[in-house]
Amino acid sequence: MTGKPVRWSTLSAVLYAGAIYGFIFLPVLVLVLFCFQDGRFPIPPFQGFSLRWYEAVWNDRRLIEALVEKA
Amino acid sequence: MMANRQRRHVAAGPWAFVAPALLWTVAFFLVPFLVMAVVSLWERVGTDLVASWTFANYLKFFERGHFLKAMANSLEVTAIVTVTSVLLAYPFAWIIAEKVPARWQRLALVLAILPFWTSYVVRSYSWLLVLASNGIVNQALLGIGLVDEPLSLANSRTATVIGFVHFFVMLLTLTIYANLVQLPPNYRRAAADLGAGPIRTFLHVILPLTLPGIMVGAFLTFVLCIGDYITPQVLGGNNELLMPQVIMLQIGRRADFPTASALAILLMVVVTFAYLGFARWIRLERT
Repeated sequence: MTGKPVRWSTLSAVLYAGAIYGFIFLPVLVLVLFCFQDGRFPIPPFQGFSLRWYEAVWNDRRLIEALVEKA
Repeated sequence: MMANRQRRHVAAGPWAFVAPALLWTVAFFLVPFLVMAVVSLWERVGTDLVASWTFANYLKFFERGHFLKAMANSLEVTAIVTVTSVLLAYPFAWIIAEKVPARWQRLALVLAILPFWTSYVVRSYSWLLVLASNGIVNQALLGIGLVDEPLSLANSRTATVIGFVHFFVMLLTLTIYANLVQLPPNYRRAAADLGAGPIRTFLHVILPLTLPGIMVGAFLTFVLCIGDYITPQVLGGNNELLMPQVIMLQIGRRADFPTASALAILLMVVVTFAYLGFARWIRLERT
């Protein structure tokens, strides 16, 4: 086994798999990140950590009822 | 007498086994399909549906430009999505099957399909946020100076295609991976023994042997993609309509069930032709 070509193919495999994983997780990570957004819009810039949207869901009776019904 | 009874018993056997599946298919596929086929021949007069036998609804599809355009849009989007998804998923599945150590493969696969756990609708809306003009993709592109002005990605065909490709890359990675790990490693060793390099081994041994699996996955992608309503509705904006959206408009806005049924059946005809095309490919590769 020669060192160089093997390392090159491993590197490209890692880069490719990383890019695809990034693509696959992008919408989910954005969703998780911006559910903690301390602002009205779930878009950058991130304005700080807040649980206000969880509070809003918790206080919305219709949403909680829908959630229970679904589960 | 005894023999007769026995024979009848034997003859009834297979039907008894088939009956549940048969009943299921008849009740939940054949009957609804026939109802739709009959309704597609009805007429809508004013706001009422009138039972009749007319092909007017089918003729409408060929006479009105926007129906044909929707079918063309659907076929284009589905073709782009199917090809892109296969091209992206194949190397990815190959890396998981070949480059990832055996004990990490399961984890790598689970990670690759983890977003399936979130709701399809929510994921579509999430893409809308990601692709928005002040969304994360545009901010990143502006940040590294690749573009001067935000690209209008959201509410376009590009967004629809990205949303679809995201879903089907996950699906196809699973099916192609399952195909790749089934290949006996001896084939590759034999090819290497006979002097083939990695590229020749791939082109002449691995690719032909996994092609049937790819085609099954591609067909699944085609069928699910061309019939999907949510992704184009959420991500596509109002610039162009795909067939499922046009069908929904017939029902939602006009309560025109006959036209909707006719369009649905025409879409099914297209899927049937696609199946015939794919089936020939798959069989061709097996002989």
